[in-house]
Amino acid sequence: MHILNRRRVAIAIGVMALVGAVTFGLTLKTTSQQLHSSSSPGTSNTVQQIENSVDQPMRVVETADSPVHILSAKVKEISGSDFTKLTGQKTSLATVSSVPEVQFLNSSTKAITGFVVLIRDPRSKTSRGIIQTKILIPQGETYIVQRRAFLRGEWTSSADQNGQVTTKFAPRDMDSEKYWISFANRSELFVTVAHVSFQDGTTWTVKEGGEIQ
Amino acid sequence: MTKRTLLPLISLLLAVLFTAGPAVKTAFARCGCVCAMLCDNRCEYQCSGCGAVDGMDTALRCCQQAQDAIGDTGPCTPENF
Repeated sequence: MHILNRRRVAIAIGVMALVGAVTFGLTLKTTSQQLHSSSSPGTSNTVQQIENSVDQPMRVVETADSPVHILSAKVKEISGSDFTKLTGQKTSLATVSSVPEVQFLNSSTKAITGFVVLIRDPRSKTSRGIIQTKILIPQGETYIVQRRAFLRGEWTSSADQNGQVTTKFAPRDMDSEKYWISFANRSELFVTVAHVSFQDGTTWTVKEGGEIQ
Repeated sequence: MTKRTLLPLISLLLAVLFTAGPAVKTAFARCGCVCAMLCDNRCEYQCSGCGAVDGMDTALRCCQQAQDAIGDTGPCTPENF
Protein backbone atom coordinates (compact mmCIF):
# COMPACT_ATOMS: atom_id res chain seq x y z
CA MET A 1 0.00 0.00 0.00
CA HIS A 2 2.85 2.36 0.96
CA ILE A 3 4.77 1.52 -2.21
CA LEU A 4 1.68 2.21 -4.31
CA ASN A 5 1.18 5.64 -2.67
CA ARG A 6 4.83 6.57 -3.11
CA ARG A 7 4.62 5.64 -6.76
CA ARG A 8 1.52 7.80 -7.18
CA VAL A 9 3.22 10.74 -5.48
CA ALA A 10 6.32 10.30 -7.64
CA ILE A 11 4.26 10.13 -10.83
CA ALA A 12 2.22 13.19 -9.84
CA ILE A 13 5.34 15.23 -9.08
CA GLY A 14 6.93 14.08 -12.32
CA VAL A 15 3.89 15.09 -14.35
CA MET A 16 3.69 18.48 -12.67
CA ALA A 17 7.40 19.08 -13.19
CA LEU A 18 7.02 18.20 -16.86
CA VAL A 19 4.01 20.50 -17.26
CA GLY A 20 5.86 23.27 -15.47
CA ALA A 21 8.98 22.82 -17.57
CA VAL A 22 6.97 22.88 -20.79
CA THR A 23 5.11 26.01 -19.64
CA PHE A 24 8.41 27.68 -18.69
CA GLY A 25 9.90 26.79 -22.05
CA LEU A 26 6.90 28.20 -23.90
CA THR A 27 7.02 31.39 -21.81
CA LEU A 28 10.68 31.94 -22.66
CA LYS A 29 10.07 31.20 -26.32
CA THR A 30 7.19 33.68 -26.40
CA THR A 31 9.18 36.35 -24.58
CA SER A 32 12.20 36.15 -26.81
CA GLN A 33 10.33 35.64 -30.02
CA GLN A 34 10.99 38.34 -32.57
CA LEU A 35 9.17 38.58 -35.79
CA HIS A 36 11.26 38.87 -38.87
CA SER A 37 11.25 42.26 -40.45
CA SER A 38 8.96 42.55 -43.38
CA SER A 39 10.39 43.87 -46.56
CA SER A 40 7.07 43.94 -48.32
CA PRO A 41 6.31 46.74 -50.75
CA GLY A 42 3.88 48.08 -48.15
CA THR A 43 6.77 49.03 -45.88
CA SER A 44 7.99 51.87 -48.07
CA ASN A 45 4.40 53.14 -48.28
CA THR A 46 4.21 53.03 -44.49
CA VAL A 47 7.45 55.02 -44.19
CA GLN A 48 6.14 57.60 -46.62
CA GLN A 49 2.85 57.87 -44.74
CA ILE A 50 4.69 58.38 -41.45
CA GLU A 51 6.95 61.03 -42.93
CA ASN A 52 3.88 62.86 -44.23
CA SER A 53 1.99 62.51 -40.96
CA VAL A 54 1.56 65.42 -38.58
CA ASP A 55 4.09 65.71 -35.78
CA GLN A 56 2.70 65.11 -32.30
CA PRO A 57 3.87 67.02 -29.24
CA MET A 58 5.73 65.29 -26.46
CA ARG A 59 5.22 66.63 -22.95
CA VAL A 60 8.02 68.95 -21.87
CA VAL A 61 9.10 69.27 -18.26
CA GLU A 62 11.43 72.06 -17.20
CA THR A 63 12.51 73.38 -13.84
CA ALA A 64 12.66 77.11 -13.09
CA ASP A 65 16.46 77.11 -12.84
CA SER A 66 17.01 75.39 -16.18
CA PRO A 67 19.63 77.16 -18.35
CA VAL A 68 17.78 76.10 -21.49
CA HIS A 69 14.21 76.52 -22.62
CA ILE A 70 12.67 73.81 -24.78
CA LEU A 71 10.76 75.47 -27.61
CA SER A 72 9.32 72.29 -29.07
CA ALA A 73 9.48 68.51 -28.76
CA LYS A 74 7.83 66.70 -31.66
CA VAL A 75 7.41 63.01 -32.35
CA LYS A 76 5.90 60.80 -35.02
CA GLU A 77 3.32 58.33 -33.78
CA ILE A 78 2.39 55.00 -35.33
CA SER A 79 0.22 52.02 -34.48
CA GLY A 80 1.68 48.99 -32.77
CA SER A 81 1.11 46.94 -35.91
CA ASP A 82 2.99 49.47 -38.06
CA PHE A 83 5.83 49.37 -35.53
CA THR A 84 6.00 45.60 -35.95
CA LYS A 85 5.81 45.90 -39.72
CA LEU A 86 8.68 48.39 -39.79
CA THR A 87 11.04 47.00 -37.20
CA GLY A 88 10.11 43.34 -36.88
CA GLN A 89 9.74 43.83 -33.12
CA LYS A 90 6.62 43.03 -31.13
CA THR A 91 5.00 45.56 -28.80
CA SER A 92 2.09 45.56 -26.41
CA LEU A 93 1.50 49.28 -27.02
CA ALA A 94 -1.45 50.37 -29.14
CA THR A 95 0.57 53.32 -30.43
CA VAL A 96 4.32 53.85 -30.47
CA SER A 97 5.99 57.24 -30.65
CA SER A 98 9.32 58.06 -32.18
CA VAL A 99 12.25 59.67 -30.46
CA PRO A 100 11.61 63.41 -30.37
CA GLU A 101 12.97 66.25 -32.39
CA VAL A 102 13.82 68.77 -29.69
CA GLN A 103 14.44 72.45 -30.25
CA PHE A 104 15.77 74.42 -27.31
CA LEU A 105 17.09 77.88 -26.56
CA ASN A 106 20.22 78.58 -24.59
CA SER A 107 18.58 80.94 -22.14
CA SER A 108 21.62 81.09 -19.85
CA THR A 109 24.31 83.76 -19.79
CA LYS A 110 27.04 81.35 -20.91
CA ALA A 111 27.93 79.28 -23.95
CA ILE A 112 26.89 75.63 -23.76
CA THR A 113 29.36 72.89 -24.74
CA GLY A 114 27.34 69.81 -23.83
CA PHE A 115 23.92 68.60 -22.73
CA VAL A 116 21.80 65.55 -21.93
CA VAL A 117 18.35 65.13 -23.46
CA LEU A 118 16.27 62.82 -21.30
CA ILE A 119 13.05 61.03 -22.25
CA ARG A 120 11.40 59.39 -19.29
CA ASP A 121 8.49 57.25 -18.21
CA PRO A 122 8.25 57.84 -14.44
CA ARG A 123 5.84 54.94 -13.92
CA SER A 124 8.19 52.26 -15.20
CA LYS A 125 11.32 54.20 -14.17
CA THR A 126 12.67 53.82 -17.67
CA SER A 127 14.70 56.54 -19.34
CA ARG A 128 16.26 57.04 -22.68
CA GLY A 129 18.55 59.84 -23.73
CA ILE A 130 21.55 61.18 -25.52
CA ILE A 131 24.64 62.73 -24.04
CA GLN A 132 26.09 65.34 -26.38
CA THR A 133 29.54 66.80 -25.84
CA LYS A 134 32.06 68.94 -27.76
CA ILE A 135 29.60 71.39 -29.26
CA LEU A 136 29.14 75.13 -28.93
CA ILE A 137 25.76 76.81 -28.46
CA PRO A 138 26.30 80.52 -27.81
CA GLN A 139 24.11 82.42 -25.37
CA GLY A 140 20.69 83.20 -26.82
CA GLU A 141 20.98 80.71 -29.72
CA THR A 142 18.69 77.81 -30.48
CA TYR A 143 19.72 74.22 -31.17
CA ILE A 144 17.78 71.38 -32.74
CA VAL A 145 18.34 67.77 -31.73
CA GLN A 146 17.22 65.78 -34.76
CA ARG A 147 15.53 62.40 -34.41
CA ARG A 148 18.41 60.72 -36.20
CA ALA A 149 20.71 62.00 -33.44
CA PHE A 150 19.41 59.07 -31.37
CA LEU A 151 20.51 56.52 -33.96
CA ARG A 152 23.79 55.07 -35.00
CA GLY A 153 24.52 55.39 -38.68
CA GLU A 154 26.31 52.86 -40.79
CA TRP A 155 29.27 53.26 -43.09
CA THR A 156 28.66 51.19 -46.17
CA SER A 157 31.07 50.53 -49.01
CA SER A 158 30.43 49.25 -52.49
CA ALA A 159 32.93 48.14 -55.12
CA ASP A 160 32.47 47.97 -58.90
CA GLN A 161 34.21 45.77 -61.49
CA ASN A 162 37.04 48.30 -61.91
CA GLY A 163 37.87 48.12 -58.25
CA GLN A 164 36.37 51.53 -57.57
CA VAL A 165 35.23 51.55 -53.98
CA THR A 166 32.64 54.04 -52.83
CA THR A 167 32.07 54.55 -49.13
CA LYS A 168 29.20 56.51 -47.74
CA PHE A 169 27.52 57.11 -44.42
CA ALA A 170 23.91 55.97 -44.27
CA PRO A 171 21.94 57.04 -41.22
CA ARG A 172 19.47 54.49 -39.96
CA ASP A 173 15.87 55.57 -39.87
CA MET A 174 12.32 54.43 -39.14
CA ASP A 175 13.05 50.76 -39.75
CA SER A 176 15.35 50.79 -36.75
CA GLU A 177 13.69 50.03 -33.42
CA LYS A 178 15.99 52.71 -31.96
CA TYR A 179 13.93 55.29 -33.83
CA TRP A 180 10.96 54.38 -31.63
CA ILE A 181 10.25 54.49 -27.93
CA SER A 182 8.78 51.11 -27.20
CA PHE A 183 8.62 51.16 -23.40
CA ALA A 184 5.71 53.60 -22.91
CA ASN A 185 2.95 55.54 -24.62
CA ARG A 186 3.52 59.17 -25.55
CA SER A 187 1.02 60.22 -22.85
CA GLU A 188 3.24 58.63 -20.20
CA LEU A 189 6.48 60.20 -21.38
CA PHE A 190 8.13 63.52 -20.85
CA VAL A 191 11.26 65.10 -22.27
CA THR A 192 13.67 67.43 -20.55
CA VAL A 193 17.22 68.72 -20.81
CA ALA A 194 18.63 67.20 -17.67
CA HIS A 195 22.26 68.27 -17.71
CA VAL A 196 24.22 71.13 -19.28
CA SER A 197 27.97 71.77 -19.49
CA PHE A 198 29.21 75.30 -20.01
CA GLN A 199 32.28 76.65 -21.75
CA ASP A 200 33.65 77.98 -18.46
CA GLY A 201 33.81 74.44 -17.06
CA THR A 202 30.74 74.67 -14.82
CA THR A 203 27.77 72.32 -15.11
CA TRP A 204 24.08 72.30 -14.26
CA THR A 205 22.02 69.19 -13.44
CA VAL A 206 18.27 69.04 -13.01
CA LYS A 207 17.07 68.31 -9.49
CA GLU A 208 14.79 65.34 -8.94
CA GLY A 209 11.37 66.22 -7.55
CA GLY A 210 8.02 67.53 -8.70
CA GLU A 211 7.44 66.29 -12.23
CA ILE A 212 11.04 65.11 -12.55
CA GLN A 213 10.62 61.66 -11.08
CA MET B 1 0.47 17.06 6.98
CA THR B 2 -0.87 14.14 4.99
CA LYS B 3 0.22 13.11 1.56
CA ARG B 4 -3.15 14.18 0.19
CA THR B 5 -2.57 17.79 1.24
CA LEU B 6 1.17 17.71 0.50
CA LEU B 7 0.75 16.68 -3.11
CA PRO B 8 -1.34 19.70 -4.26
CA LEU B 9 0.99 22.01 -2.35
CA ILE B 10 4.09 20.62 -4.08
CA SER B 11 2.32 20.83 -7.44
CA LEU B 12 1.33 24.44 -6.82
CA LEU B 13 4.84 25.37 -5.72
CA LEU B 14 6.38 23.78 -8.81
CA ALA B 15 3.88 25.47 -11.12
CA VAL B 16 4.54 28.88 -9.54
CA LEU B 17 8.30 28.43 -9.71
CA PHE B 18 8.34 27.35 -13.34
CA THR B 19 5.86 29.87 -14.69
CA ALA B 20 6.79 32.93 -12.61
CA GLY B 21 10.55 32.66 -13.09
CA PRO B 22 10.96 35.50 -15.62
CA ALA B 23 8.53 37.78 -13.76
CA VAL B 24 10.47 37.39 -10.53
CA LYS B 25 13.62 38.37 -12.37
CA THR B 26 11.93 41.55 -13.63
CA ALA B 27 10.46 42.43 -10.24
CA PHE B 28 13.87 42.43 -8.62
CA ALA B 29 15.63 44.28 -11.44
CA ARG B 30 17.96 47.01 -10.15
CA CYS B 31 19.00 50.27 -11.75
CA GLY B 32 20.97 49.54 -14.87
CA CYS B 33 21.85 51.30 -18.12
CA VAL B 34 22.91 50.26 -21.57
CA CYS B 35 24.84 52.84 -23.58
CA ALA B 36 26.42 53.12 -27.00
CA MET B 37 28.77 55.69 -28.47
CA LEU B 38 27.11 56.91 -31.68
CA CYS B 39 30.21 58.91 -32.54
CA ASP B 40 33.01 60.66 -30.71
CA ASN B 41 30.84 63.32 -29.09
CA ARG B 42 27.46 61.65 -28.70
CA CYS B 43 26.33 58.70 -26.62
CA GLU B 44 22.89 57.13 -26.55
CA TYR B 45 21.58 55.34 -23.47
CA GLN B 46 18.63 53.59 -21.90
CA CYS B 47 18.19 52.99 -18.19
CA SER B 48 15.72 50.81 -16.31
CA GLY B 49 14.79 50.83 -12.65
CA CYS B 50 16.60 54.14 -12.01
CA GLY B 51 15.61 57.55 -10.78
CA ALA B 52 15.80 60.24 -13.45
CA VAL B 53 19.05 61.75 -12.17
CA ASP B 54 20.56 58.51 -10.86
CA GLY B 55 20.02 56.94 -14.25
CA MET B 56 21.63 59.86 -16.01
CA ASP B 57 24.66 59.73 -13.70
CA THR B 58 24.97 56.01 -14.33
CA ALA B 59 24.66 56.63 -18.07
CA LEU B 60 27.33 59.35 -17.97
CA ARG B 61 29.75 56.85 -16.39
CA CYS B 62 28.66 54.18 -18.87
CA CYS B 63 29.34 56.50 -21.81
CA GLN B 64 32.71 57.59 -20.41
CA GLN B 65 33.79 53.97 -20.08
CA ALA B 66 32.49 53.18 -23.55
CA GLN B 67 34.47 56.05 -25.02
CA ASP B 68 37.61 55.03 -23.12
CA ALA B 69 37.22 51.52 -24.51
CA ILE B 70 36.55 52.56 -28.11
CA GLY B 71 38.88 55.53 -28.38
CA ASP B 72 38.54 58.52 -30.67
CA THR B 73 36.15 57.72 -33.52
CA GLY B 74 35.74 61.27 -34.82
CA PRO B 75 32.86 63.67 -34.27
CA CYS B 76 29.35 63.11 -35.56
CA THR B 77 29.03 64.03 -39.20
CA PRO B 78 26.37 66.43 -40.46
CA GLU B 79 24.50 63.46 -41.94
CA ASN B 80 23.60 62.08 -38.55
CA PHE B 81 23.04 65.32 -36.71
